[in-house]
Amino acid sequence: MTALASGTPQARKRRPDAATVLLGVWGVLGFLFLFFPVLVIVAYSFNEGRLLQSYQGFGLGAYADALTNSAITSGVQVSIYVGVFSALLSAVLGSLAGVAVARRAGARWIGWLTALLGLVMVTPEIVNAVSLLPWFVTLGTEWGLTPLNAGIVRLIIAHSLFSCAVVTFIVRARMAGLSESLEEAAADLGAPPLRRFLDITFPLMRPAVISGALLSFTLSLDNTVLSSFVSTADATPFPVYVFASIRSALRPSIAAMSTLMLLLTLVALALVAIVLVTARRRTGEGMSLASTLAGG
Amino acid sequence: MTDTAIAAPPADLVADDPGAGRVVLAGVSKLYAKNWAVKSLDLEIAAGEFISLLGPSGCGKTTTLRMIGGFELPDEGEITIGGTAMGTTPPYRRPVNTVFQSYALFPHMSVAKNVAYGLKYAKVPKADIADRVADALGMVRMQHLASRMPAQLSGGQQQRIALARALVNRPAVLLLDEPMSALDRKLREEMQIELKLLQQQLGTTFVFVTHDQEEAMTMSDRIAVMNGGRIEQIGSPAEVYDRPSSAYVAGFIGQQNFFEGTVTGADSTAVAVQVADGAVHATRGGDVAPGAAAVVAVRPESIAVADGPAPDEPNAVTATLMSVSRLGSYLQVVTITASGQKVMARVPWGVEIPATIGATVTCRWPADAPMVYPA
Amino acid sequence: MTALALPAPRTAGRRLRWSIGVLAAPITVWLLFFFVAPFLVILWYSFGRKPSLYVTHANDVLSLDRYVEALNPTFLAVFGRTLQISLIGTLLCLVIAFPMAYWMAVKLPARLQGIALALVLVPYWTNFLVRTIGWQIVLSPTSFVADISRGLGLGTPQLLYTPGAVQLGVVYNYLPLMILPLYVTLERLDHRLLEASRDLGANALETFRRVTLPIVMPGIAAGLLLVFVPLMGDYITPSVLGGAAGSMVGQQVATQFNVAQNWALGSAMAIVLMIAILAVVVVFALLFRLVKALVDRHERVAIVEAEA
Repeated sequence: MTALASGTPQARKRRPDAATVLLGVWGVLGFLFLFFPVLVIVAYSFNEGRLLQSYQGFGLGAYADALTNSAITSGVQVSIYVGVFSALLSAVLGSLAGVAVARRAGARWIGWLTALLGLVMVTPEIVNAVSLLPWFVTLGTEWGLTPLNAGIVRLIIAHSLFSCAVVTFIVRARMAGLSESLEEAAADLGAPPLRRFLDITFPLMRPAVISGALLSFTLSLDNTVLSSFVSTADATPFPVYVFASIRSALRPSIAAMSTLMLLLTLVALALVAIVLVTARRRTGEGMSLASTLAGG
Repeated sequence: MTDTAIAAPPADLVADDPGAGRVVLAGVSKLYAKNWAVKSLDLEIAAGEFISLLGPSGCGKTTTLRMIGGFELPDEGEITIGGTAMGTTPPYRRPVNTVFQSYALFPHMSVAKNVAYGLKYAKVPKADIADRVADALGMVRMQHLASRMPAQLSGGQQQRIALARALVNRPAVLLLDEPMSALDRKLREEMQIELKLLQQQLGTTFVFVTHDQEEAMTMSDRIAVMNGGRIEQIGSPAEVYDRPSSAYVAGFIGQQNFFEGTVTGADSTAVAVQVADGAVHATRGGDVAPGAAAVVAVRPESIAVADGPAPDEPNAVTATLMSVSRLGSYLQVVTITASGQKVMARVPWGVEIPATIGATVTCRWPADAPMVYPA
Repeated sequence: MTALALPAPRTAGRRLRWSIGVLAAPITVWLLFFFVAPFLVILWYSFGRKPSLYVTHANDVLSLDRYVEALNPTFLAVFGRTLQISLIGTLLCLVIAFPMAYWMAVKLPARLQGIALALVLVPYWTNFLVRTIGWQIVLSPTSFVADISRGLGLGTPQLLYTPGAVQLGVVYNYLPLMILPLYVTLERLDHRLLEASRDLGANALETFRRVTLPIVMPGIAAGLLLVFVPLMGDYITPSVLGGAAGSMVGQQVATQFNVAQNWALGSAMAIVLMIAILAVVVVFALLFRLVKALVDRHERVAIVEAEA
């Protein structure tokens, strides 16, 4: 008995070893690195100077400028408009394909489609961009498909390509986690095919569709390379405006609008997180944002 | 205990049309990737019968069940339910319901909504749906969990919800695809008894797929032992246990001691087989001819163990006692003969084993115990 | 009944599967029309020429001349720099990301992992271009970094518009793409495996080498791919941070289309870039396999067959 009294059990907590401490320090430094330029942009959005790079004192003038500069506000409008429509388009195309790929259909061409989607995701954006530009010109002028002369239409199509592949993989991951026997059970209980889809399949894949659409939206807002090639003068998204400004002069108003856009993106991301967490809570199983993004 | 019990079924769930539950499979075959999953299967299931399809995985039992349910269509043959040929009728127009192996409860619907799902499509008046759901949940004693989500339930609870969800539709035939495989042993044994009682009270035809022979023995009116896409033997539990038609069935149902040997004499009443450790005389004739290789099967409970080496007579072999262990109400005795053959005996608790471990013993069985099959 | 003749399957199930397959038709058509076709078009252009100052391309004479033209010394020099920046950048991403991902997945308690993941994602979903401009501010001669340097009497450092600035920028920009797949694989790593390895007598380093690393290999491969491919084609980072001294292939391609209006040459350069990326990926995949095969051979356990 006396032997047992030599130490209280709580006192025997193991102290973290040196390796764990080093890993922790490394991790925190890594996060600081990741956040550093973002914080710089936010800080410089309060710059009262004329040029973004040289800080001339604190003020909100840049925000006033950003919200009154018609080039910036129309750029943001174009960005949001394109983001919404390319997200919707990607969600529809990607969800349908995701169901088909997950339920595999056994067909060989589904394998080819998966390879094509992979190719879309690994093709450098610049190659995509330079190939789309002549294609749009050819279709719009030589084939007479005049809607393709509109910058907005071109942007929506261009942004949808990568996004619809992303949505397909997200929906596929979700569908693969759902047993086919759920749909069979619905059939067994008397539901005809369309009702089965509306009652069972769609509600269960909805979180994946919504998060895929929101990710598509943020990807579209972010896109610079494709946009700078396919956009036209009457439809210049915000990142293209910023990219053009680099060659002339960067104003603090750009940092101000970027900060506002960051807030918008954060809201979209928070929505994704809420959708995923709610789905997990309601059904007891779910998918992590990380595995979603990693395509698995 | 209330959680695991099943109450008497409400009157409105009892089968009223006795002919509706009759299922006939005539020459049914199914191909998977150029292999016959099921081959020329003939099976008649009487209305109100509890039949088990028993066999190892890949024997075609689940495919047969899925064809009855309409999830797969046979490549040959016809399935008739309640006198109506099913043809290509989809699952949602068949008078059958299924309890799936993993239960397949809809994760985004409450327990009550899961159970009500089928009634919606059976065009049951809205006012009656709530009553029927309550009755079905009452039957499996799950009323108190009606508003829970499936993820919040234990495996046993999920299984009972799956049962209620299927039975609430008053199917003529209930298909059960290994519904107990995820339950622990004790719960499984309780459910077996309750399921059997429920089936008797409902009068619904139950087609039960399992690889667990004890489960099939406990519940079934008849067992169809399947192997390689065919039915090896079909009969009552007693028939398949006492008179297995092949060495395969003999080995699959219950435990067996197998001896390989050569037939030395055979007529319509008796067979003599010479095995490595002695001679076997069986009064139950097998389909074997003198000179042919044969397999002799002797059930452990037919074997008696005595002290000392065996005398030179048939149906007795000399062996070394290796272990004695108590299993429930009987003793399991393991011995090994001189030729290295393991012989197991099951002796009722209370019968003395007249030897110590390592001693030489005699394993003896009566002449009506061995069954002889062609090797 | 003819036992050998296989009947024509009359499965509604098969029909159902086909109808599900039809759901993939729209995306297939969409990608064929807006991804594959445009690529084939520039492939076609790359065999043509730029006939005059005001015409972007012509395919009246087909040749491989544009490829010869594309592989001029200037382009090759830029290409070499691009390859160097990409390879070093990818490796640096791995070196920085692995301990971070390991710490997040293995050392952090589960409830903090979600937050850590969000922290990785927030900068990633901040506009790529804007993040890069953040670095431009930091590296510019008028920034607080330069002020500190001057304050210490070190003079005004030349940081911006150097290959080093591009290297920093790409490592920063692509780091999350390395962290995410590593985190996902490490998070799925079964801790019992590590305990089993320790139980079987391996020390921490051996456990890492013989258990953790092989299991995480697919994640590492995914991360390398996700970082290397877009990095090779990057056009934004060198435009913002590189100046003339730090330009990359992506800018060369873009210049042919935007400025020089030579679509034939630009197409050839884009194709060369694609082929180079594929070649590097294939070479690395083969190296991976080779190393794995050698390791397997080295650690092979011979099992003496027991007598039958």
